Amino acid sequence: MSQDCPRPLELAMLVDYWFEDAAPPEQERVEEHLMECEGCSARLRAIVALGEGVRRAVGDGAVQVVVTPAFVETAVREGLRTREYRLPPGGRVACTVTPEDDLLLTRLEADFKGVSRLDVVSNWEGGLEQRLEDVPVSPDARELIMAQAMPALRALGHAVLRVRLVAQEERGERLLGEYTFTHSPTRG
Amino acid sequence: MRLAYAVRALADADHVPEASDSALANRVARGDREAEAELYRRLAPRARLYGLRHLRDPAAADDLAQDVVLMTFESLRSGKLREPEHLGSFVLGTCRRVVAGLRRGVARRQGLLERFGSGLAPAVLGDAAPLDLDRVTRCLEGLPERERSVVVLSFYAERRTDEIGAELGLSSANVRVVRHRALARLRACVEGAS
Repeated sequence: MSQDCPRPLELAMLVDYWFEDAAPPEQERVEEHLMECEGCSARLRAIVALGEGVRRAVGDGAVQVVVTPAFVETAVREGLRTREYRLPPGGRVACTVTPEDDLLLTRLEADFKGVSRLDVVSNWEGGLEQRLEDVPVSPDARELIMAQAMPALRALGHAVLRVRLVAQEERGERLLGEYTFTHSPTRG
Repeated sequence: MRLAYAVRALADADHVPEASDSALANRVARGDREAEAELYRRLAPRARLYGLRHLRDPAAADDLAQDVVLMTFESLRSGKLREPEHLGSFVLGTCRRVVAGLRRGVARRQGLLERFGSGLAPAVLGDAAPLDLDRVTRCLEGLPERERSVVVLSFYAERRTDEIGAELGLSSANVRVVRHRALARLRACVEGAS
C-alpha cells in the first residue's frame, strides 16, 4: 500500500462504481484498488462530497432543474414542503411562493410523443426571453416537471411569466403548449 | 489521554508522511501510538467510503470505519495479521464482513469501543474540505439542462441509472456518459479550474 498511485483509475470508472453501474468483477477490482490507493480514494471521496453539496443545494430549493416523479417522491419523503402548479396547454394560473415552501414545482402538461429535442422558452412580461435548450423529457411523459429556484421567486414582485414548450424539428419549431403564471408575492 | 494520538493526527493534517501503510502497520503491531494515529487517518476515510457505498448512510459508514480500523489494529497487535503488505486486503475483507454482519443485525462494536475509546472517529473521518454551497449552486446552474437533471436525479433522488434513463427517455449508457461529463465539469468548476 502506498501513497502514490502508479495506475490511477479513470474518473468514469470511479463514478460507475459509486452508482453501482460496474460489473461485479470490476466492482471488486475497484474496491481493492481504493482500499490501497489514497489518491484514488481521495478522488472518489471528493466526488461523494460534491454529491452531498448537490443534495443540499437541491434540498434548499436553490437550483432550477427539470425533475421527474421520482425526484418529487424523494422530496416529499424527506419532508420538504412542496407547492405545485399543474397547467394544461393554454393554461393560466395565479401563483405565489410562501416562506413555508421549500420547493416550487411547475407541471406543464403536453404531448411529447416524437419529440427528440425540447426547449423551454420563458418571457417575463416586459423582460428578456430566456431559453433552456434541450431539456430532458421522455416521449412517454405527460408533463414536464421543473423545480424552480426559490431565491429568485422569493425576491419577485407582481409579475407575469409566459412559458412555451417548443419541439425542435427538422422543419423548424413546433409549439407544444403555452402557459401563463401570474405571480403575486406573499407577505411573510 | 489515550486518544492523544488522534488529536495529534488532526493537528498534523497537512503533514504528508513518507512511511508506507505496511511500514506503519509494522509499527502499530509493535504498539507505536503515533503510527496508529497516522494509519487511522489514512484507513478510516477509505473504510468510510466503502461503508457509504454499501450502506448509503453516513452515520452507519462512520461506525463501520471506526469498527474496521480498530479491528485491524487489534489484529496487528495480537499477531493475527502477520503480513502487513496484505493490509489492504485485510481491511477490505473486514469491511465486507462487518457490512454483512450489519445487514444481519449483528452489533459487535461495544467491546472494541470500550477497549479503544469512542472519541476517535467523527472528527478524523471528516477529511473532505468543506464545500462552498453557493459555488456548488452556481456551478450546477452552469451545467447544460440535461446534465443538471442527471446529476440531481443521481445524487438527490438516488435512482439507479436505468430508472433515470427510463424517466428521462435516455438509455442507461447515455445516462452514464452524461453523468461522467457533468461530474467532470462540475468538479472542475467547484475547484475553480473553469
